[in-house]
Amino acid sequence: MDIFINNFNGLINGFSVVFQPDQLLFIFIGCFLGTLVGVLPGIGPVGAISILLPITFQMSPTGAIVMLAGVYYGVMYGGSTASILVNVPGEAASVVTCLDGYQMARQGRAGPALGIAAIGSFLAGTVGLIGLQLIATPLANVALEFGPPEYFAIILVGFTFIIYLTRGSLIKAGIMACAGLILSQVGLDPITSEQRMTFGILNLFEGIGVAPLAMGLFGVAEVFTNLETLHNGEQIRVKIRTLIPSRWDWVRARWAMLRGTLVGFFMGILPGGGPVLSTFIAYGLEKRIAQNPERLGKGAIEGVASPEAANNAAASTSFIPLMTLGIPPNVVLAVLFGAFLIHGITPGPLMLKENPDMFWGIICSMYVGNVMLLVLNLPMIPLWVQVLKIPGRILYPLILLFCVIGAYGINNSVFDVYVMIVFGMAGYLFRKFGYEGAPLILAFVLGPLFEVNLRRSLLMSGGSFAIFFTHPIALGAIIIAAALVLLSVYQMYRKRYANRNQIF
Amino acid sequence: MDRNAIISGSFWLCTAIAVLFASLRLGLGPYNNPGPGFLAFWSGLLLAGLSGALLWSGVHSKSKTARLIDLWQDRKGSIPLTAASTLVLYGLVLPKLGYLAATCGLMVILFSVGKIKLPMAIPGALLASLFTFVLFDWFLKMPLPRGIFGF
Repeated sequence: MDIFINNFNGLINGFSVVFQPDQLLFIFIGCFLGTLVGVLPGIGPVGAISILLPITFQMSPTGAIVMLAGVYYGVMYGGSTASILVNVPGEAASVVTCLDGYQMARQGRAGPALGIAAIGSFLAGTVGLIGLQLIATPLANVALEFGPPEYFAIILVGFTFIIYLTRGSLIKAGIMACAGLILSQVGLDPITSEQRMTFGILNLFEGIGVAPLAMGLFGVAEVFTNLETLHNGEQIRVKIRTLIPSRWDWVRARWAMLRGTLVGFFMGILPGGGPVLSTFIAYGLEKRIAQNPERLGKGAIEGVASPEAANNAAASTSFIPLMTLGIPPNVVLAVLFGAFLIHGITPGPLMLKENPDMFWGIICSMYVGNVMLLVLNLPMIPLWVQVLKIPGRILYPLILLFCVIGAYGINNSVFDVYVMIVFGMAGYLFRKFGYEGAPLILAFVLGPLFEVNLRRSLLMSGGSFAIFFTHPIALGAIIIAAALVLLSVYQMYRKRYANRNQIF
Repeated sequence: MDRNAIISGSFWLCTAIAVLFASLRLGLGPYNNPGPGFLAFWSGLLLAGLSGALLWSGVHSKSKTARLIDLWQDRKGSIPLTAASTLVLYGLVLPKLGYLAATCGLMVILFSVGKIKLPMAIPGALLASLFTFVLFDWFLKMPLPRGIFGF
């Protein structure tokens, strides 16, 4: 009962923070920009949040995080628009929506597809938020009991999940995670304050900034890749008569929406999961349980409702591990974690006690943001259609310019621009050679936490690794990590025998 | 043989060796008080092992995409290279020329790379530079570099 009373009080507190004119404006700006980024193919939520980060320096910490969170879930809404109308996913979590969404548009049913995507996103996002609000407080209280061994083991599970859930080569994902871990150690040692791998460069004493690194690896690299195949934007000739799905559409979509919500809910919490993966799992589930699976891919409304619900539910619940354990479960939240730190807030179990206004403010801002997105987005679809007509040769140079300004604005230093360019080129080459950026950035963000907790654990135990096996939570986490590694190796070998020459 | 795997594997192996040497210089420390090079050493060692596995797979692969040039097949690889070089040059001249002049030059080149003709590229670049200068420097109070022209 106490939990519900605390939750109720927290919500009252959160809404009193959010219903200030400036906070409402920040939520609106975040949702609007997020939808815009979601609509535009090329720059995803990671790049967008990284670019916008320096702009938030003038804002209050709550305003800044509320706006950046708005960008994150706004992208999930916007991504479906481009997928349905032009078969070009605005960002990775909308790839699956293309399959049935675009087919619906070709059949003259773009309106119901957009409508069900928006309504499904709203309902799933709200369910995810209720879960976030109910789970976050008890989990944060449990996490207060965690010591360095528990944190080390949980982060280890995060690393193994990242590699286990990778879409490409396991070895390459491992290499990227190692590279991220090594890069995270550049700068002053967190315990002894000795210089490490700084080459005497003053700008590296505080380490490599997460924002220029993310901007380079995701924003600039994406632009470089798109510059290779410059296209002039698709000419859209879609007529939207009504956005309201028919009764028959509702009957077909309601259970799909619910299943998508459940998949997204749990995938959002898992380290390494998140919206992108949840859409693939939700769509796969629909195919598996459908009475006529051949309908999917040919304009079935379930194929739009389920993944769109999944990515929004996952976007909401992915805040649970970040705000309660201080562990970002996916790459977007890793960048957001950096934003929290820049604004002087450390996400984790103490956040609820030390910054309750911000904690509940963020949760409540997402409720408000979800309503804003539903109310504003449907009437704005004609505007997004016009945005989709901007040619790449104009759009990509402008995105590069915003990346440059964003990198410069962090410390008013050209050095950060160089860092961004170096990682932009590196990210471009990584894509060429089949490496994913996500394991690198996640390992980079989790690296300092991983190192400090490992070293503190060893200090506590007098150098004995047994400390990780005598603490029950740490032991449980290490067993999960070991099981994931064994499962990955087993799957790799099974694939190897099934298709001898294509394992790597 | 997959040359791309061999090239990237060799790069990571060299990186791992450099990290291993750097971590040894930093000092690993005893287990009861790990030093600054402790985690770097173990991550470098893991990186060396993984890059060795990648090299091995590259040598034994019968993959058809075996040449480096295949990665840029049907694509204009020179465009990203031009864009990156322009950005590096931009970084060098930005503190000297100031934001407006340097950005205008950058945008003209980037628009030209995208095959926008100069009569369109120049006003477009000027507009983009001015708009961002007003937005970031004036409204958002982000002090952009002034350079010799004072803007």
